[in-house]
Amino acid sequence: MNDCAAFLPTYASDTSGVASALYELGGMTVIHDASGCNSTYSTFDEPRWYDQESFVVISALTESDAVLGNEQKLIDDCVQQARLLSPAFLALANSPVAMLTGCDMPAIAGQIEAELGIPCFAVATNGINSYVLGASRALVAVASRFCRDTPRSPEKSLNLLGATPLDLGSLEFSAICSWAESFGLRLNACVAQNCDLSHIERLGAAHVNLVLSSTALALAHALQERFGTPYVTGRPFGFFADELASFLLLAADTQKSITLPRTENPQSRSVALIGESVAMASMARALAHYGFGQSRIFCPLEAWQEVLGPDDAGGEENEDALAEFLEGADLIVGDPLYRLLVKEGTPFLPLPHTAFSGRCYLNAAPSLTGQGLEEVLAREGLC
Amino acid sequence: MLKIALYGKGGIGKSTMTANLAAAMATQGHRVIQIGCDPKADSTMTLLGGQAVTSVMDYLRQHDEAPTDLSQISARGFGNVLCLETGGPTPGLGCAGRGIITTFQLLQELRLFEEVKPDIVLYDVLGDVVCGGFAAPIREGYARHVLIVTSGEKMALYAARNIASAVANFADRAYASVHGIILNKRNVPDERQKVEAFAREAKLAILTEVPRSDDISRCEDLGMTVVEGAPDSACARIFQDLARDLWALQHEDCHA
Repeated sequence: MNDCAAFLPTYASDTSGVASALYELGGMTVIHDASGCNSTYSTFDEPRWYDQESFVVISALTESDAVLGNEQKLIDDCVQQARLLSPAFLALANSPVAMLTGCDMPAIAGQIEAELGIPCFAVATNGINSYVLGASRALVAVASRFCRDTPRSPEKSLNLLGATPLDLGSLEFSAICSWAESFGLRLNACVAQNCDLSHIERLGAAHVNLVLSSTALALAHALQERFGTPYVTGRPFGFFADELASFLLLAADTQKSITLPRTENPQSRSVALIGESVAMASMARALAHYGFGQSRIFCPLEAWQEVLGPDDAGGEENEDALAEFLEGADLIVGDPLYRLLVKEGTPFLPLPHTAFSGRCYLNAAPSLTGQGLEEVLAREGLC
Repeated sequence: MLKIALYGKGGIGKSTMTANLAAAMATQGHRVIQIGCDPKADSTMTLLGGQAVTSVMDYLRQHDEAPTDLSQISARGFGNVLCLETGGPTPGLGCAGRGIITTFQLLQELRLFEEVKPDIVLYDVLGDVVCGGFAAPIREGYARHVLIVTSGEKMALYAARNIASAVANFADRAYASVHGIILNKRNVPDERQKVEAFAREAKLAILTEVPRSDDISRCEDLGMTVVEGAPDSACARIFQDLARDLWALQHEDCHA
């Protein structure tokens, strides 16, 4: 019963990650499932659902279709709907049932593409992994199909990668966009918020990629391999914004990726951070400015090893282990739902994370870019 | 890399054919992997001196976590053939087909092909293409060629027909295609003619004919293939010839 969660929810699943990453790109995302995946996605994981049109659909898999292997029905439905809606592409994602019955989505995608003449690809999901894997694989898949071989832009330019609402609220994202255009680089493309498919098409034109969340690490690797574009990981929280800007300019000039080392000042106060690796590593650097120089991070999501240090931890969420991890910290940072594991009296900095607490704190999510962090710390009595 | 899957009715001799082919290919200088896809996990025993390798499903059952190293679920057999077995769920429970898919995903995560760099991979698949799991060995990225093992017995030919039509159903997917038939003789009256009739109907070639032989039984009792235990026997020569013929497919695959 070690992995039994008494207080904490799970992170958004990989199918939500796929849908979120592709939401604004003009394609049709099909989750092969009875139902449930889509209602969880629309109810908890997708703040754009009621304001912005997109084609995210469920296949309505039935027990008999699953048992009999009636995959032709999925193919026919996809073809029929695509002919009605004319999406730019189709993306297929597996749910736990279809995964267990061994539904061969890449082969089905090939059949649909052959019939429709519209790009169709499968994103390897099982409804069990976190949104990080789903979004990550979806971004790589759509870029591999639509990213063009374009020359570098005449002016030095930047792509923002990994900006789905599961990690960045609209307020935060707007602040990052403004910041990104303030230090001498032109914004070339955003993936995947406030964007369309043309942003994917021109990804190769930028001089540097900023990876805003671990959902875009694989895409950054792919773009580095294909175009030689360097990348930097980070979120411009507080005073770290200036440091991050200088790293981006350096990477754009030298065309070399920069991995930010984790900093450590044993003389200062300690902070324990829980959450997505890129955001938490950036927050650790930002908080060092306020005297919290001893930081350790726990990332319960995939793809954390590249960003975090040897003293950090990651993997499966285990409430007992997590409570132990938080023990003794002078400050704890994480989604407000993690407060349930924090001892009374320990200062806590709440950073709402849609992929974890859904819409619960959506309206309370502040912008922490640049000066925004200082305002929040002051409000919480931490500086 | 040449990847071949052997299908056929249960008990028809698929494991015998596969292990002998693996042994013959190994003696011809090739790096070979044999993957048994049968809950019984006995495909590779004649390559391993009658011993069983820890199957993937057994490992999962015993450790409640996935293996982290290929050495935990594989063993080197005759001719340095790397032997693996999917194994199966607890009898009467779980899902054997899913077990094959899980095994294949695991082997991919463990970078089997990149680490071992085989020339030839042989999949020995239980019986018929009964569900998605048992079709996994012929999906894109796995076997490109299917060999159907059959005798002249009615039920063996019935299964062979089902296998051929199942593979044909996947013609519009990038799956394997049937390369031909291995006739494993059971001394049924008019056996050759019966299998030839099926071959004509399915537009397939009979690649070789393996006679019923006491050499095979004797060697199996000793935990060996005939290629190892009776290398000068007529049977061993048949497997050596077939191995050479099949290796020629490698050149076709390279030019495909």
